[in-house]
Amino acid sequence: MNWHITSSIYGGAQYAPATMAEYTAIAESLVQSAADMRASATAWTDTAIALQRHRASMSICDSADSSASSGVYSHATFPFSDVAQRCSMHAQDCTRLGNELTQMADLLIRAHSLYSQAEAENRRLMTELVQGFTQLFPKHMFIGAGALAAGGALYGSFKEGKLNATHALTSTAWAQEGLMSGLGAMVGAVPIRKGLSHTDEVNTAAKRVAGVTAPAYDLVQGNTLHVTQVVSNSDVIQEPHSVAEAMEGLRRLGEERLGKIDLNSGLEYGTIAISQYRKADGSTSWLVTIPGTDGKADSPFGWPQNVELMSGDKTRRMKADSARMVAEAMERAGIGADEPVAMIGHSQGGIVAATLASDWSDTYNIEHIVTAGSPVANHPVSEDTWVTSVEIDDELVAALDGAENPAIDTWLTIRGTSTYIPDSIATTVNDDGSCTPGMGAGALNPFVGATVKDQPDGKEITHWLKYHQAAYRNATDLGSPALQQHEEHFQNILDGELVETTYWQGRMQRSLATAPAQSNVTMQTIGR
Amino acid sequence: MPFSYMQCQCHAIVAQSRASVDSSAALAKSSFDRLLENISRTSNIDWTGNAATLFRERMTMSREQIVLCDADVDVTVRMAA
Repeated sequence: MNWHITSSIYGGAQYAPATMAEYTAIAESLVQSAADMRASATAWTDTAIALQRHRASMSICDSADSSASSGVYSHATFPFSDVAQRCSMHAQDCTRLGNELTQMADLLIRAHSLYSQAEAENRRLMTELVQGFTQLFPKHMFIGAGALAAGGALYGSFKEGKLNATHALTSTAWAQEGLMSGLGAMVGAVPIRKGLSHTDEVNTAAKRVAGVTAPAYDLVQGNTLHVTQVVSNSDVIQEPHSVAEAMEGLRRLGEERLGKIDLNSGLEYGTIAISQYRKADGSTSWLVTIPGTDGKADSPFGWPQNVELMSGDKTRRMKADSARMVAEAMERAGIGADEPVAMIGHSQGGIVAATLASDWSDTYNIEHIVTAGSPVANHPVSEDTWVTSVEIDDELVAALDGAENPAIDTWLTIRGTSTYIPDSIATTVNDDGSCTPGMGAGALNPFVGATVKDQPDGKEITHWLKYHQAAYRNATDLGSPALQQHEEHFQNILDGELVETTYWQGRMQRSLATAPAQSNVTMQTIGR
Repeated sequence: MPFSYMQCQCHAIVAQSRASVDSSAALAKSSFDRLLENISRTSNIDWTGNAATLFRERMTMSREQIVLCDADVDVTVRMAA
């Protein structure tokens, strides 16, 4: 239990400039005080050493280290040992205070996103630089990236004590968006001048690639979509009323349909869930839960569908099997055009949610989407739809869009960084207000990061949803007003009583009788 | 008398030691004063949640610790005087 996720928040509603300036000044004053304390600690340590030196140099004087007069009037006395000991104690106190202030200043900075704009600008600059160099010197850049990845993998493996290539993702995390963007510009034939001022090179490339791969995969998989309502033998999605609860439902559904956990539901791959809520005023709202890629041969959530969903072309995106499947299921579940809808998706599921919010906005009232580990920066989501994105720095998948998410009031991104902290479990404040004590560094500084649940001994790919859950937990603990606003917006959609949750399974088939991109919606319900 | 009052080196060394302690004490006390001022500014922050609660607890603890440290430094200075 040593992997922690430390979250930073970008976008969402910003403070007024005066408030931001005031909070920044307070944070900087704490940082300065921390530096002052360390300077004091150094001064006390130097004094303690000097006193020891002075005492040694006075060995000739027999009355030197005594607080009592020796009776010889011509000597001076000084309690060297006692004072030196106290100086060391002051040094320790000042160091402790300095460390404490540093931690608290960091908490303040992260909670209020005080430097997020500057950080985002720096990242954008770095991404564009890497993209530009990739376009100009592709061979050199990819050799360099390969060397960086190999070096990271070797160094991480050495520290871990066993060979683990996953560390390559961490060492290249800072360059992944730029490399993807550069690769996208090359594949999409985007001129370098245009590429440096745009962020959608990957989507341009995906449009081009999907023009070939989608028809080819249709020949392999078939293009007739069968959507079937299936009955779950257990409550995989329970009754989410918050983002964290919806994420837990998403994790349960995602892992259950792949057999990673056994909830005895009978649900299989290619399954999504639609929960209906009845509000106090009698109106209806909905939550659509969409897991990620399962890669099965006849699933609408295969790997090639990701390319279609990433396309810069709306028509191409809307033809993606997974998006069509979710749209069909929403229609059959009876979601009305004006009824508020919240969607949550992991990986491909998040791209589907962004696609629905972008391209089905005339059909559904999608008020809020939550994406976890989804490359959706360039999806044209209207500002009428709130977006809460959770991404981990070194998960790679979220960087496949080659761009930062927009940082606007209605689009908030939580970026998590995974850190190995030996023998540490972060203290957790539970939903009911109770506290589960941590241990080690995580107990001393509980919100420096959230502990990842059910983690293996070594480093693993951080694309798994449990890492995004930890990132959201840490961000929530920070108490960011911007995040609180997003959370409230999401909760307002789901503030009614759960009426029912229905589960929908998609399968792809070849059918000569059905025109391409046409859905064959079956009405069969699989009973318990 | 082989060592007169003015001739013994211990007076100069003790004076140096006192000066060193006084200097460190002055630096620490001015840092404490600025820190107390900075901590009082944090009460203006509109912030709720678990981290905000921890932050305020730690700021209160830091303030109490500074008062204790400040008193401790005074004791040290008196011992060195």
